[in-house]
Amino acid sequence: MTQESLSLALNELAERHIRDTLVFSPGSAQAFPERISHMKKKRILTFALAAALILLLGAAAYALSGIPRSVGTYSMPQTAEYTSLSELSRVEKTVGYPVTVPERFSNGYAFAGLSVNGQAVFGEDLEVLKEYYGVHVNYSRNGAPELYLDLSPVLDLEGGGKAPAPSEQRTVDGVTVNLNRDQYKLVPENYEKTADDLAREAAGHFYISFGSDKIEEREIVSAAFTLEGVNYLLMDMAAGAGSLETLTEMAAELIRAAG
Amino acid sequence: MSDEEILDLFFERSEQAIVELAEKHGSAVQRVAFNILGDAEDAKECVNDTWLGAWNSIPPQRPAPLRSYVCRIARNLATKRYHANTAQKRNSRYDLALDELAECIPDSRSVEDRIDARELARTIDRFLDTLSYEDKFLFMRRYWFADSLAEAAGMAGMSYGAAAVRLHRVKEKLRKQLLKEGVPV
Repeated sequence: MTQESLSLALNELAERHIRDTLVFSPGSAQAFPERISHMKKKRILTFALAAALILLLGAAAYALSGIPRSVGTYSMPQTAEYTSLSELSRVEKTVGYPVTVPERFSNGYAFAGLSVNGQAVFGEDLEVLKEYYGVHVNYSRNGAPELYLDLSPVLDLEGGGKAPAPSEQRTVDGVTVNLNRDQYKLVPENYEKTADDLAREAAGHFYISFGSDKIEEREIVSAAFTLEGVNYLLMDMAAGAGSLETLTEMAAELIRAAG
Repeated sequence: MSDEEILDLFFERSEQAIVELAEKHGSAVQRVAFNILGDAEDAKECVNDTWLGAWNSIPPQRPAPLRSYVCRIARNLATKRYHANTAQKRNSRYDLALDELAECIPDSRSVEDRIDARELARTIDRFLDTLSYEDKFLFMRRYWFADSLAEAAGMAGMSYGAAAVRLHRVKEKLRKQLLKEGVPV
């Protein structure tokens, strides 16, 4: 390979590597640690989207405008994966907040796996504003797409601004459930937003998510609510006509289980 | 001024945007340009072209973080100019960095036939994801930012020797990764 070709290859490296190494700052690295890069792509995607949704839904107590912020995976010492709920108390001890994870919902969705992962909120210069453990749960049902439940602590970060209004809001036993039907456009790292993308972003409920191999659009339905200082986010990443109702019912069951 | 405020100026088409951009990120851009070109005058022109590139692309783009965006523009422009220069005018330091990296890609002619620069970039991307932060930092500073190994070691708070050993191991790992992904030896 000629020097020029090698030079061109270096020019094409992904944005994340440049961003991570602008200054020596191991604590703020957003690179995927080995264990995450070896995960199935689908799982990386659900992590990334869950983090984005948590930020955008305003389920957490911090705001979007003002200081630019992002949420990403972050290397933490006690990440783990569980295939049963028998060790839920250990999970709670690790993450430091109460975790309500039903074994089964009345619509047939059943627990299929849980992982504790490290996440962080990054500031403008990629400094870590807050690091925390997230809990990511998979639910499966025969012949139906998997659903996901993500838990994260309510973060006490400064900032003004206002989160986008949810598509719909309902109240279950005094708990507000924010329901959203959003369009996500998954694009490669080097994708440049088009005028149409910018217009759709401005209109709301349309988000660009960088890091995919190819351009793909999908509709994601989610239900978000807060219980005892913990954000709960139920997601259907293969949204269908009845998704909103399904998630609302599951949110209600979860709220009652926690009560 | 925050990056967001600078971007707002770009979107308002205020020329003050360039002034603020240069004030905040000029030294990083200058460093990338000079590291590659090795000539102060060429680097200065490259930096000015970088500001023009930013002016022409923002909007519609609204990059975050801004610093990596302008460093990438600078690197693209600097490498283009570098490879257009005659061999006599070239910067031996950047040549050395490229030669070092080329050692990881043995039998280079056959490789060139089979993978293009973009494919190689994706392979290196995946490889970088598997490295510790320190190793990735050394790799990127040496080969992307074209810092000298001594500078990269200093930034990472390591001795030159420790950084050299680490980087050598990283290159060995990369060589193995390329083999694993079907790049022929």
